[in-house]
Amino acid sequence: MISSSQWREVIGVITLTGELSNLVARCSNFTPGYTQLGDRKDQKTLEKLRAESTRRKLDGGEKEKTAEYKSFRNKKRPRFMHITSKAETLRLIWIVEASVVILLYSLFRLNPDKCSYSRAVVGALLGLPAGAIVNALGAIVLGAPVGLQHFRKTVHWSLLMSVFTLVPAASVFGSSWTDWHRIFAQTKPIGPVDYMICLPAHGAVIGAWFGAWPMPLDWERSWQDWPICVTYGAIVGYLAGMMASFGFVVFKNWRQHVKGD
Amino acid sequence: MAAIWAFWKSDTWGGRSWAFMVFLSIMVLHSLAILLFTRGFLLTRTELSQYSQCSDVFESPCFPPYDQNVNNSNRARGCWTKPAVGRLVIILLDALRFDFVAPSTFYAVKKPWMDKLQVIHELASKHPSTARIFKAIADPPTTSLQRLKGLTTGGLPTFIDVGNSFGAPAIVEDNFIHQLVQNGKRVVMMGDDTWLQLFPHHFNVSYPFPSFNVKDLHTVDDGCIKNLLPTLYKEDWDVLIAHFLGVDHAGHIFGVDSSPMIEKLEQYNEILKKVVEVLESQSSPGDLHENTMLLVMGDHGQTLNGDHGGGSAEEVETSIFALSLKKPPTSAPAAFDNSTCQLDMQGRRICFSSIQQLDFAVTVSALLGLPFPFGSIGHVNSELFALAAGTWSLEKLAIHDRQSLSELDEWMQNYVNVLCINSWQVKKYIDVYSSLSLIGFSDKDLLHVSELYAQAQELWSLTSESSVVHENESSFTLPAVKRQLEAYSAFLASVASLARSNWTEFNLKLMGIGFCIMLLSLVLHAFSIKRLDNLCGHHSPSCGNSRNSFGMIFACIAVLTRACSFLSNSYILEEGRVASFLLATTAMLQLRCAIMKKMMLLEALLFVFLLPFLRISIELAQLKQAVSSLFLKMDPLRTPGINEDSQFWMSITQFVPILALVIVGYLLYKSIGCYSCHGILKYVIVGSLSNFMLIAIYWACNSDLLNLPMVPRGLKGNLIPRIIYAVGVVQVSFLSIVLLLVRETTVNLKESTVIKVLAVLSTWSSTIIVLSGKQGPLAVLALLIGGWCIIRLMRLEQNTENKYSGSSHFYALPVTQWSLLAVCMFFSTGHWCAFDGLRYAAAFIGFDEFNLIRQAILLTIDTFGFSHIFPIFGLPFLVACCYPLRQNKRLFSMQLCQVYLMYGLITAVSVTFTILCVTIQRRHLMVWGLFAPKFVFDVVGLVLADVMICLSSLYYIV
Repeated sequence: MISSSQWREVIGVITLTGELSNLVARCSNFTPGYTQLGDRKDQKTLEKLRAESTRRKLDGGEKEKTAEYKSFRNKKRPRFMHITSKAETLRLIWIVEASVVILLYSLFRLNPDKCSYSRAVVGALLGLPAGAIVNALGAIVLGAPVGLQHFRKTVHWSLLMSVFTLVPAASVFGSSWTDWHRIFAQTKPIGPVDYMICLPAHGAVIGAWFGAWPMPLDWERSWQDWPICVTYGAIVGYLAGMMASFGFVVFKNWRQHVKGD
Repeated sequence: MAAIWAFWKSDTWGGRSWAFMVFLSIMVLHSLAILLFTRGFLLTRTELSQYSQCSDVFESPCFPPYDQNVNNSNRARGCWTKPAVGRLVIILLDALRFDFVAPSTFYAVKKPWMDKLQVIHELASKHPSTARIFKAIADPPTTSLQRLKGLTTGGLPTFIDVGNSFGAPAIVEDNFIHQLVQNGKRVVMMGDDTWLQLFPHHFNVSYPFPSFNVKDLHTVDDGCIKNLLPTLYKEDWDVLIAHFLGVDHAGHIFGVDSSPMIEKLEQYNEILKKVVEVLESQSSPGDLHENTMLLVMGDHGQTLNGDHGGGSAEEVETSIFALSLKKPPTSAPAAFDNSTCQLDMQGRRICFSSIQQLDFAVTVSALLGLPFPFGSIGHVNSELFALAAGTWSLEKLAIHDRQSLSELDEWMQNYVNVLCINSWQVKKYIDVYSSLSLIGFSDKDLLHVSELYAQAQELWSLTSESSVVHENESSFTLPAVKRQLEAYSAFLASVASLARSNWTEFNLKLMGIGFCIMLLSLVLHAFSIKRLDNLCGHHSPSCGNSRNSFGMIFACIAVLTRACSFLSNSYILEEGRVASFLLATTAMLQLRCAIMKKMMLLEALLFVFLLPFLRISIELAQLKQAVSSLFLKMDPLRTPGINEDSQFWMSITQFVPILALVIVGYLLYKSIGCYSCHGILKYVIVGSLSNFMLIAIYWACNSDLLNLPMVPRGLKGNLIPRIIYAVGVVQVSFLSIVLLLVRETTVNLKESTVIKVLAVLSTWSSTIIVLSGKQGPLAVLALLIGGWCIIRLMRLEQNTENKYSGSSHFYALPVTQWSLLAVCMFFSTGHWCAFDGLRYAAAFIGFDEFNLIRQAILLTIDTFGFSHIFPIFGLPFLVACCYPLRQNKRLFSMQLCQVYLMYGLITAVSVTFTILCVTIQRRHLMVWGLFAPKFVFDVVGLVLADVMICLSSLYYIV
């Protein structure tokens, strides 16, 4: 038999995954305020790209672009890669995602008897900026650009990463250091909730790490800017982690079911 | 080799000699591989500074165009040949594809950009004897600068044109523009300002327009148009060059198949129409353009994307359209006519012929009656030559005054004579080149060429003698002339192909062999590491377990990632940031590990927070690079802007380095206090301390801020740096004395090694600091902190997995971090892998005058100081600092050897990938701009690293 609490978890994972992918699709593809739709604007961006390519010069008199640029210029660009107001898009994603994550994960708080639902929510809200600081520092150590003009983007990106990584743990574990240590330092998840915290968080971090790889390439795409591709990587990693944890939960349930029989 | 093999086979640790032999054999393999590869890859050509002179022609066996005796009186008669053309108008359309000019009927499908230059089609069909389209074949590299050089010198420019103009693009070789100026022709130039870089002092009048902005389609063209037509009416020039850039820019930005491109071509059609109208209106006898030739030509082609630089057919095929305003009596002899003809859309018959761009300089020189450029290896093109009426209506050659010859025969004789001069000039160049250049031609090829020339010359002497003897008979017959022509053509063709193979083609066989040897050395390297692992297992039962640890795996991933990143030019540009990214990742993993084990937290945090500083200094260096680099795009706002003018920052920049220097000195002082020091070594370290003081004084004296008035001149000038160098040399000799004489048998290996390392590092540090300037002490401090953190963090793994200590698995991660740190230091001290990334100023600290060897040594120390000297000589710290005291000496040396082997392997892997990358990208657009300098830096670094590893194996391993 699958207990009702386990069902709840399964449903939670499904909702979260669906919500997130829906959100990403909305933000990137269909929200007119945040994406390029008009061809006129597209043309402008193209011109900007070309203006940048003027700086590539060879041998004093030569005006060149690189092979990578060449091979990519004539490809049709998917429009969803084209986010104009990065900070606003990130803000929308993290606010929606944070409300879903906090409200959902707080249901699974570690000891519901001692800790009320509202307390867990408050804990998660406190964890949000703290996690953001940790993520931002990590990103800067790894090479995120520093400077005033990147400040807002970095803030919103790190808040999003915080929602992906530390906020679930904050709402579930509160301030229990041993659990934090178990999940993030030793990577030893035990129950289904542990998996749901641990795997997506690690997935998001690893995805973001790989997401930084295309940044130095000179394809001159707007999505290569900080923090777009890193965010894409993080989201992909997070979703993969979600799937994996979902798989784990289902698998464990099945095992228990078989054993029970 | 047998000895080495015996070392491999034996189960015992051979000690220092074994280690040295291994390192030496690896070094030999590396040098061999690099030598072979470089021979195949770096094409070199020596620029000769000889110039052809007017009077040289009398040395040739051919008929001069006039008598030597009347030389001075009649200069206008020409120099090497009779001038056939009075004035020359060259309209150069940059990146003119051949199919812009050729009728679309030559192609299977008519594309929108074809048939736009209608005026050319019209002229070519109407006057086939005076107007002709040529398909001009350029030689790669098809970039404007190289092509202009090739067009004017008649040679084959290549990657390294070894000459005396290092950096400045001005042409030092003999060229057709120089000859024009020498022989009193007046040259007007308009358009692309590249010409002015190449020929700074040659033009009478010039209207340069900036070619820098690719996005700007019109500035250069409009400037040309504005000046072109008025100039055509003027009398004060002989040669006019108008260089239009619009098509090139339109291609770069929009591609060939675009409306701006078509608009540009239509615009050019209009301009050409006007130019031809003006010329024709003035072409009646006695007018301005009576004997003018118009050349409309491209310097190279372009691909459909608008790129060029490589050797594909689209890029090398361009066009020359020639129009002579004076009509020659008949058209070129059919024997020479190898043109292809086709009806165009309007049913007009249009022909085109082929010409090598190589032949342009010499043909134009022959037409204008100039001496041929000294380094030209071209061949006077018969069809272009025949277009000019002046080559026909000659007064008789100096020695012939027979009327019986038909015009055609006469022309043929004239042409043969020109070819004779041409061959003589090329032969002379080949002889001079092979005697003077660094890497000449092979003897076999030279012999072959000489034989061909001798044959042709023999034939010439026969015909010319007979023609002198039988003056009245037509012994100068057509078949004889033809044979003669064939002989000369064979000679010239063989020279051109020889030059092509030497200057524009990579020797893939040599490159392949070099690469294979490099791979072999990697295998040898890995094998010796494995072997040492086994030996180590014999000696201490606790180690030798070869289960892969996480550190090992991650180290491999990091090294391979970095190595693979060299396959893309973008990652090469950002190499420093890639290295810091990987280093930061290892640091973060260690931080996580530290949190997990609840130890070494402070060190891990310190390491993690050191890295952003390194990265920011790398970015600052890139900012500096972006100013001079043509490739790097850098957002200046990416790094936090610091107002460098403010007084506060000024004083900070003066004060902080000295503070850092004091800290470094203090640390050094403390360290000799800690260890019971050997006599000589102690003095060596004290010497460095005094050097540090001198450096501080030196900087204080030269500081603008303090502005000490009483300082004697000597202190401000070169005295202090020289003292520092001298002390450094004395210290090094002391160290070698220690090595040779003192055979200490200290029980405490750890301490003696640490002291030795300290002595070596301090010896180098003062020189390196003074060379690298104010950033020096900060960089040393960063390196110290980084190194200390890496060493301390080794404990993390040691404590938990004690089994591993001693095997390569244990050292993999720290050594990788060490080498990544070294790479970061290279970039953060303001270097980058390009020749303008060398800090030339450093070579002149302490010296004012230039001395090649001395300055080269200083420059090498500055360039590789932080990335090679410090890390490699400091490597024993890794072993010594976390070595349990009681273990035996033998194991210690083995581990030392192991660490050096691993460091060498990491360096060699990245160099191997660089080599692979330049092989793959050898036809890449940026191969000479980016990949080749990177290759040179890596290769020099590898050889230096090998030498230093050998030295340290002698010095440290007991």
